Amino acid sequence: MFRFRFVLAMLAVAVLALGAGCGDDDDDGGGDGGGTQEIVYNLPTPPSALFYPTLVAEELGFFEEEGVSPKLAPAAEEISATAFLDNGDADVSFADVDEIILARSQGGEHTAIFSPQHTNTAGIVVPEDSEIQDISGVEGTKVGLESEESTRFLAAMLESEGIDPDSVDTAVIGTSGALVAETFEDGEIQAYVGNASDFTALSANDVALRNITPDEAAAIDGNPMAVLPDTLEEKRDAIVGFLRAWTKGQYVGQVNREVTEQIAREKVPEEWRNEASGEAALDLAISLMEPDDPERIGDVRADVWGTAQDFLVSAGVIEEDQKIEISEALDDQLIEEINDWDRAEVEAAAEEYAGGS
Amino acid sequence: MGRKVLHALSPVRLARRLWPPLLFLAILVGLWELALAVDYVSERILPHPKDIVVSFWELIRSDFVWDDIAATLWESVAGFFLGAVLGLALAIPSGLSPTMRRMLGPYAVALQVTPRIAIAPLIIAWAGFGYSSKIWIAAIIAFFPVYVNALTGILTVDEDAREMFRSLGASRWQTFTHLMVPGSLPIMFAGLKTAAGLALVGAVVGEFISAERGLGVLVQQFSSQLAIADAFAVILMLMFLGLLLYGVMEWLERATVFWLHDGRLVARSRRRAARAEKKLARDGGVPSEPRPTLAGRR
Repeated sequence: MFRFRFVLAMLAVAVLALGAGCGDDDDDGGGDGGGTQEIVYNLPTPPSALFYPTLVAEELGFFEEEGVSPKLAPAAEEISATAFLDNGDADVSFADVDEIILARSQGGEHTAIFSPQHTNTAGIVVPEDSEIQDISGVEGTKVGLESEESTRFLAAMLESEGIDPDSVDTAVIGTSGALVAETFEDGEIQAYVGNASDFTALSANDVALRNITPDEAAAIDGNPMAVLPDTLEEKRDAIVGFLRAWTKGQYVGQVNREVTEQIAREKVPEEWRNEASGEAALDLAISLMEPDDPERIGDVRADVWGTAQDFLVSAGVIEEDQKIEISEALDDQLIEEINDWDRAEVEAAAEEYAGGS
Repeated sequence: MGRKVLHALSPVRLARRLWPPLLFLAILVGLWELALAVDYVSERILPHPKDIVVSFWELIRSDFVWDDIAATLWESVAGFFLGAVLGLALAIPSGLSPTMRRMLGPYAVALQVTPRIAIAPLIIAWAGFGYSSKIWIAAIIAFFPVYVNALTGILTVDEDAREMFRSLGASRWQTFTHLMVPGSLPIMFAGLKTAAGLALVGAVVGEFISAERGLGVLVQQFSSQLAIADAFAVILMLMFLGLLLYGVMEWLERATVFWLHDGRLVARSRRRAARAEKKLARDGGVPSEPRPTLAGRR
C-alpha cells in the first residue's frame, strides 16, 4: 500500500514539474500592454538593425500611437516560419517566399499581406578576385552553404541557368563570418550561399566579395509577412496597427538614417561592438527596405511571386502539379490602409527625437 | 575558525595550490600566441588572449550583457530543476518497484540516446519561442544523469545495512528515509553535478535556435559580425556560469553528504558534542563521554 501511495506521490511531483516547465512563455517578463492589443510577430533574428522598423517604431512611440503591444518571437533557419503560425505561437510571421508557397502547396492557408523587402536577402557570392564571373561559373566547384535550407535556393539558381545541381559539391559551413572568410582563403569553397547581412559583415571587415546572384533570384522579396485567414479576421485591427507602425519606422529609415542609427545603437548595442559590421548592416537593411513606391510600403508583387514559384518548380522543390495560384496567396487589401498616415508628421517625430536626445 | 581560514589562505598555501593551474595556463597562452605569431592560425578565427580579456572586461561593464547572462542563467537553473525533479520523481519509484523500472527504463534510455540537438527545433516549435522551450531542452538534457544516478544509488544500497534495518523492525518509510536516501545521496549528487553543466548546454542549444536574448544569441551575433574576441569573451562567460552551477552543486553536496568529507564530519561531530555538553551543563547534569556516532547514518 505504501509503495502504491509513494508511486502516486512521485507521479504527482512529476506532473507539477511538468506544469512548472510549461509556464509563462514570455521572454520579457510579460506586461499587459496597458489596454493595447497584443500581437506576436515572428522574425528570423533577435532584435536587430536588420529589421530596424520595429526598433524605430518602438522608440518613437509608433506602436503606442497605433494601440498595439508587439511581442517578438525570433527563430533561426532551423524552424519554418510558417510553423509559428500553424502552432499558434505567432500571429504574423516574416517567412521566406518559398516557405509560404510550400506551405500552401501542402494545403496551408498562409497568405502574404505585407512585404517590406523588395530585394532578396539571400544570394550567392564569390571572392572579388575569383575567376567565377556569374552563376554558370559555379559548375564543378564546391559551394559553402549558410544552412541546409540553402540547398534548394542554390539548386533553383543553378537550374535556372540550366546547370545540373549535382555538378556542384556543397558543404554547410554556417554563418560565422570568420569561418566563411577562412574557408574562402583556404580555397575550401569557391562560392558561398548565404544572407546579405553575412556578406556585408564580411565586406565591412576587408573580405572583398562579388555578388553573382542571378537577377531573377535577386528580385524575389526578402521576408514577406504571412498570416492565417482566421487570425487576420480575428486580429485585423492589431495587425493593421502593427503594420502601420512598422511602415512608419521603415519610412524613418528611408528619410533619416542618422536617427535610425541613433536608435539602433541604443536598442541593439551588441550589434555595434564591431562598428564596421554595425554600419554595414544598417546600410543594408535600409537599402533592402527601399520600397518601389514610397506610398505603398510593403506592397506584395504577384509577378515576383510567380518567378519564385517557377524557381521552386525548376529546382524540383515542388512538382508542377503542386503549383499554387499566386493570386490566392497574396492579399494586398491592407496596403493602402497601413500606408495611410502623414509622412510629414513622422519626419517631424524623427527630427524631434534627434533634437531631444 | 578565523585562524583556520587565515591559515587556509596563507600566501604560501595559496601559492602552492595555485601554481600548477597557473603554470598550465601560461603554457597554453604561450602556445596560443606562438600559433598566432607563426600564422598557424588566423587572428580572424583565434584572437589574441589579451583581446579576449579586454572584450570580457568591456562586456561585463556594459549594460546589455547582464540581461543575456540573466536569461541564460534562468533557463539553465529552471531547466536543471525541472530535469532533476523529473529524474528523481521517476528514479525513486523505479528504484522501489521492479515493475516501474521495467516500465520506464527503456524510455529513459531511448531519450538519452536520441540526439537532443535534433529534437531541439521541434521542442521550440511545440513549446513556443519564450523561455519555456529553452527550459524544456535544458531539462531533457539534465534528466538522464539524475535519473540513472539516483536509480543506481537506490539499487546499490548496502545489503547488510538493509538486513540490519529489517531485523530491527524498521518500517519501509524508515528504511527509505534513513537508509536508502542517505545511502544513495553520494551517487545522486554525482548525477546532479553532471546535470547542472548539461542544463547550461541545453539552454545555449535552445538559444542558438530561437531566442530573443541569452549568451547563445550573443555568441552567434558576434560570430557572424566577425567580432571574434567578443564571441570568445561570451564563451568565457558561459564557462564561468558552468563553473558557478557546478560549484553550487559541489557546495550542496558538501553540506548534504557531509560524512564523505572528513573535515566537515569532524567539525559537525564537534559542534554536536559541544551543544550536548552545553545542554547538560544548563540542565545541571554531568557531562558524559561523547557517545560514538553512526557517522554515515546520523
